[in-house]
Amino acid sequence: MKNIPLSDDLYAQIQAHIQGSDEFDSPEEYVDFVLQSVLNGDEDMDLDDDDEDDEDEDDEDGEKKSKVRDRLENLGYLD
Amino acid sequence: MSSLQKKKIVVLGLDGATWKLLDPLMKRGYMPTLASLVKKGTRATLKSTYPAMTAPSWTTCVTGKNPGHHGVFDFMLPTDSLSRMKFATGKDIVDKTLYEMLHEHGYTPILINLPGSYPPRLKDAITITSLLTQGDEWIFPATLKDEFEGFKKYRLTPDESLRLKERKEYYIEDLLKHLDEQMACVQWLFNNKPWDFFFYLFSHTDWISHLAYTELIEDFDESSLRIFKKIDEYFAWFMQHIPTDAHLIILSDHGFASYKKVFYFNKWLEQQGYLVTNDAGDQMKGAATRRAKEAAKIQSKQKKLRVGKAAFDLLARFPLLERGVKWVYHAVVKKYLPIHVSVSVGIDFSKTKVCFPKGSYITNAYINKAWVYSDGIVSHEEYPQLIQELIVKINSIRDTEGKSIVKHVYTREEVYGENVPDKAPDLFFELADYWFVGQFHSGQLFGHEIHNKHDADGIFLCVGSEFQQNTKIDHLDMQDITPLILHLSGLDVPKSCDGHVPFEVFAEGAESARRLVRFSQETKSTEKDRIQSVIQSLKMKK
Repeated sequence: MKNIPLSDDLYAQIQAHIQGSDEFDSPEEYVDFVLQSVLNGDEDMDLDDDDEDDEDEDDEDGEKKSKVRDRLENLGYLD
Repeated sequence: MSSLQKKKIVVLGLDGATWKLLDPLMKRGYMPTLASLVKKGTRATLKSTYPAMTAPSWTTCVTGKNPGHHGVFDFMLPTDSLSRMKFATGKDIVDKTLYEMLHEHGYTPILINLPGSYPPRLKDAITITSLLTQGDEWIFPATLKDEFEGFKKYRLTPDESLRLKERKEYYIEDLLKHLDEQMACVQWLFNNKPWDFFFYLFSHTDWISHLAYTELIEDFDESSLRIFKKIDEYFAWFMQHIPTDAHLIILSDHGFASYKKVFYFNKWLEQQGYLVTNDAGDQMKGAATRRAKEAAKIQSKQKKLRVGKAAFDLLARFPLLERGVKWVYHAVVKKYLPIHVSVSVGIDFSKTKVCFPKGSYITNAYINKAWVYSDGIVSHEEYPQLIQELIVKINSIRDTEGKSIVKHVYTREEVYGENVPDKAPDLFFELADYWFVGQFHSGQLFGHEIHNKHDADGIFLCVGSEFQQNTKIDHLDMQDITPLILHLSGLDVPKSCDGHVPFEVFAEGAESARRLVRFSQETKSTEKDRIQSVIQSLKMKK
């Protein structure tokens, strides 16, 4: 476990924000959840970014979507 | 949590199954277990969603909402332009699913092959995702693979190349093998893992119907029937192993139909001046998968012949010439000559007002709205008039026999109601004899080809102590399934559900029949939902 310093003001703001919440017991839990969401969100964004998919399907995400398309086409869902 | 005793519920999906086929199969003795279940339960036609497609319909099944309200309008969804569509995933489902609501109330779900279940929305529920899985992770938790040897053989889909090569018998053999391999895992989970809500989808009924529905419905094609007979044997297995107090629901996401005529909708739009084509084509660039790479390798050795807009404009003027050219292509060129022919006609979205945006991937019409899409050209002011104009024109189209090509054209408000996102499709079609396609593979508006495709009439059957026996009711809607299961379980039904609890399925005096529906308030977003929503919207702007 690593410690990352937060300013007193920000810590107090988070504390006030989650007061009475049954989802977060502490500001640490809140910050952990936000950062995890951001990092997971980054993966999601890559997965959904079709702009690049059409341009370059050699990358890993393009291949993932290409597989879905192939399955749907080959099994008769899409012509 | 309800004070009622928890009820075990098993939902078996039969993708694309229709009573039009199952009734004659039961009558001829091919599906004896299903026939006995029908006598023990309540059956109905299950009306699918608009569109009657796998992804939106199963999502409606597990949300109680129509696609305009759950967000999965089709396999593909528009992004910031109709020229860029993305495949829908479980993340596109707005609000909570049935299995999340059950889980919140202490139920243990197991989900196998539920479309829209990738990526899993529940972190601690056993989930095997469907053919819409993106990537190689399809079993959650992954450690399950170490617990049962059968998972090493589990495949999301059969060997599709056999279907492509038109080797029907081999494809059916592989479908049966695939079914056995999947069912080995399903049976193991059913018997060895705790569950209160068990969902498994037999996709094989849809796959064989896409291949051979016309032969099945017209000739009871023996080889294709093997799939249905085998599934009936597995129904018998479930009946032997299901807990005596469990409730069973068998249902399909849509029905099937044999369309023998096609209408080239995008071609018609082009003729009417609503759509402009170019020579860019609509092909995905690159070849990422093994199959695509193999195909590209074969094609690289062939001489390439690109058929563009000018060629189809010419063929449009000479229908007999097109018929001859197509015959030569299918009978000679495709079979014997080292020539790869690709159709290179695409949509110029900067000049297009209305279209099926992705060939025949999408069969609902989208208006290219300026306030929604970066290259949209239809203004807010023009929109209502354009919609009405299109409805009148489409309704007035007649084929060569003077018949209408469509039963009904609906606006999205008629289909989905209020509060529909701007990115939802704008016009929907209730089809008659014609299958609508968006491809530009013809210079004509009408064609004669067999298409084994979906229709709206799926199946519903429920068996258990709370349900009526040997009863047939007219129809239920797919959006009724979530309210039905929640009420049966003694849980509140969200007010936001579009469906209702179908009381007509309950036996007289059954506890579920006597109890009033309790509605929950609109699902309140939690702080975690809000954080994720803010992050998502920031990324959309990136």
